[in-house]
Amino acid sequence: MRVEKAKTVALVILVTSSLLMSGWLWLGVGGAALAPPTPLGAERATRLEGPSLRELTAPERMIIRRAGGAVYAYPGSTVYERIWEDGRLAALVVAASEERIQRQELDPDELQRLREETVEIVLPVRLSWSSWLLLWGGSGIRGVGPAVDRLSIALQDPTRVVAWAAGEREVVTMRLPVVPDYVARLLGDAELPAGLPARPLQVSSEVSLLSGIYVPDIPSVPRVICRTARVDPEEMAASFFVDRSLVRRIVEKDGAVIYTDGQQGLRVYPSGMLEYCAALPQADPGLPQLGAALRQLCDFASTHGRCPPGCFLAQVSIMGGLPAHQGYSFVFGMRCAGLPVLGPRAALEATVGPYGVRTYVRYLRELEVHQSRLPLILAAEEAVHLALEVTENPHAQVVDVYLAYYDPSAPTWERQLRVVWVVAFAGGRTVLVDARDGTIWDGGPR
Amino acid sequence: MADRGDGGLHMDWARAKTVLMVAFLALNLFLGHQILQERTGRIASGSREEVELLREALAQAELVLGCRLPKPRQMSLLQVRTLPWDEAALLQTFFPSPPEVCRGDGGRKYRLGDEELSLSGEGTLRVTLSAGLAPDDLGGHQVRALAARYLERLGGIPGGGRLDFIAACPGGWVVQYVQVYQGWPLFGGGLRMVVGTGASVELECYWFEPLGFVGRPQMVLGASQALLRALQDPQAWPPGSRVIADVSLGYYSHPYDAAHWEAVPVWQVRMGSGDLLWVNALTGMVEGVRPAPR
Repeated sequence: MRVEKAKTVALVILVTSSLLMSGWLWLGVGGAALAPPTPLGAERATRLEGPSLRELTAPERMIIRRAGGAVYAYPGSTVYERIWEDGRLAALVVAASEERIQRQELDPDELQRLREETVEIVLPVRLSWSSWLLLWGGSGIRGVGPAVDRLSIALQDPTRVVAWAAGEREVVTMRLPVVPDYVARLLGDAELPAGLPARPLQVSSEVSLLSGIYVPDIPSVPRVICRTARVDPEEMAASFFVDRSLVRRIVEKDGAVIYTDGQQGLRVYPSGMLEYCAALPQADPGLPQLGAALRQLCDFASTHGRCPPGCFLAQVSIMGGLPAHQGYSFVFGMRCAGLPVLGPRAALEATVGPYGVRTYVRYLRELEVHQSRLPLILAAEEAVHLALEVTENPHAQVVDVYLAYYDPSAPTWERQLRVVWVVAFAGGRTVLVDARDGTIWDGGPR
Repeated sequence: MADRGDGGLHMDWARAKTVLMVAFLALNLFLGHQILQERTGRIASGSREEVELLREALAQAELVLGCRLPKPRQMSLLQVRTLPWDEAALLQTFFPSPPEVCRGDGGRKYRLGDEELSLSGEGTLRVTLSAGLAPDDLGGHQVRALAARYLERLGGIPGGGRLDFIAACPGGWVVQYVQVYQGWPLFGGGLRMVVGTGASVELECYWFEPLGFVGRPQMVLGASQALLRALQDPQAWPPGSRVIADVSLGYYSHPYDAAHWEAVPVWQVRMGSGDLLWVNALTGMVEGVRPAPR
């Protein structure tokens, strides 16, 4: 009997151990160590909701001109939000373009008439009309159309919309299916809506000026404090690399930390800036459409941390070359208190290729709007004259003048943003003039 | 089952238990073997089938395996930094009188006559000297002795090391010493001496300062598995080399101008021509290539 008892115990042990070993094998032993390298763009971090394409491409500002004067409307203001209606205006424009558009050239007199009695919507980036339609959910148009960065809705004929660019003669005109609600309300109201007062830019006749430039007529802007965002390198790395056991770390002498698994590289700077790049695969699945590429970038940014708050699309360019090198280059700016924040470093710069995000540089800052205000000591006209001196071309045509904040990106933890007049010239050059002391700042990317 | 004698059957439990024990013992032996294989690589390193697979892949790439493959081991990452040079001592060692100071690319360069010494920003020392050897003197023993003399002048291998290999190459000879840390060779650094047929000697030397292992030890890929993955990128392999003369496991890193960093486990592949290839032993990707002088 004793032998039988021993055999029973031995059998139980053997059955248990076989079950354990089967489970061990089923779940995998050392699987992580032997797994193939992390696939490109593999993501595991919690995905946050990123901005929509219409949010990213929302207008930079609006100018409502009537016979009795003009007002400025910046993002966040009631007038702005009512006109833009979370992108409903963009949807109307897309619908109108799907029906029929007309491309034509306007002479300077026609352009001046176009800017009278209008709602002028200044877009954040100059893009071909076809690209705008793709970004706003349309199917594009045949051909690319002229590059535009403004929409004008004539108050005399409120279903007619003209898409145009400052300094260019070719425009696109279309008819909206309905009059936008708030524009209809403006028509029924003889008064200007509540907004920041604006006045025409008045410079000496020697200055070449595009007609119809209005500048904000305000004495000051809110004071903004900028703080470098604290970024935990290990936390960031965890969001980029699925298998950390394959990742090595390089700590640079300036405190920046590089993580790489051979396929992807991530560098986190002490300033909170981060750079990411992925290896180029050999195969070519084809370049995504502009809207899809931008969507991929937003998803990527949201998955790996977040999109900088208040960001907007500031530049787009198409990269040519070999199929694997083709793609889009995007630059995002950021806004604070309705004004764009300019400076040597963009909020986000990235390239998106056939396989998704290839390079990614994010510069995260925290901006705090204070109750106190920064006075505008320098008038816009003085800024124009200073900018003309910088260009060393007295005949350069001024096509736009607007206010912005400027972040010198000094290596300090906390700094106050400057306020600048941005003087834009025909041909694309911009000069940043400090509105307090006339200092000329390097524009750099937004 | 056994006949109970009353026309019914009764279970012979003792016998059934014995049969089950034997069956489960066999099953456990099989499962245990499988687990052992899993822990040492999906296919046991050096197993006939895996080596055959590798030989076929190598043949397609016009390569031949001319050595035995060592077994993989459990390894962590290794944290290292650059061991700085005593520049004044170096100049005294190699130049009998003060040399001319030239501009280097991100580092410093000194010259006296035909002899030149440079220190790169990340800490690599390069010295070009005249060995005073006639071409007839260029035998393996003489070259090895010469390398040992230069190594001694440089103060030896910090922390200890060994001769990695000595090989005749079309341009002359190449001798490579490696640092060793807790039994692991540190590839990517070390002393490399190239003796040309013109009797000129080129020394390239970089020493790591190992700071310790980091991360959980993990089983690396078997050499054959790593090489199979590395063969997926044939362009990364040095051109012209045909025979794999040696495969060994160690740590590798480029020298960086950084505070500290982590070296990865690699399989060093030495070709018969003296070309070196480092294959990441965790991912199978080619980390670096160093062609032999031609």
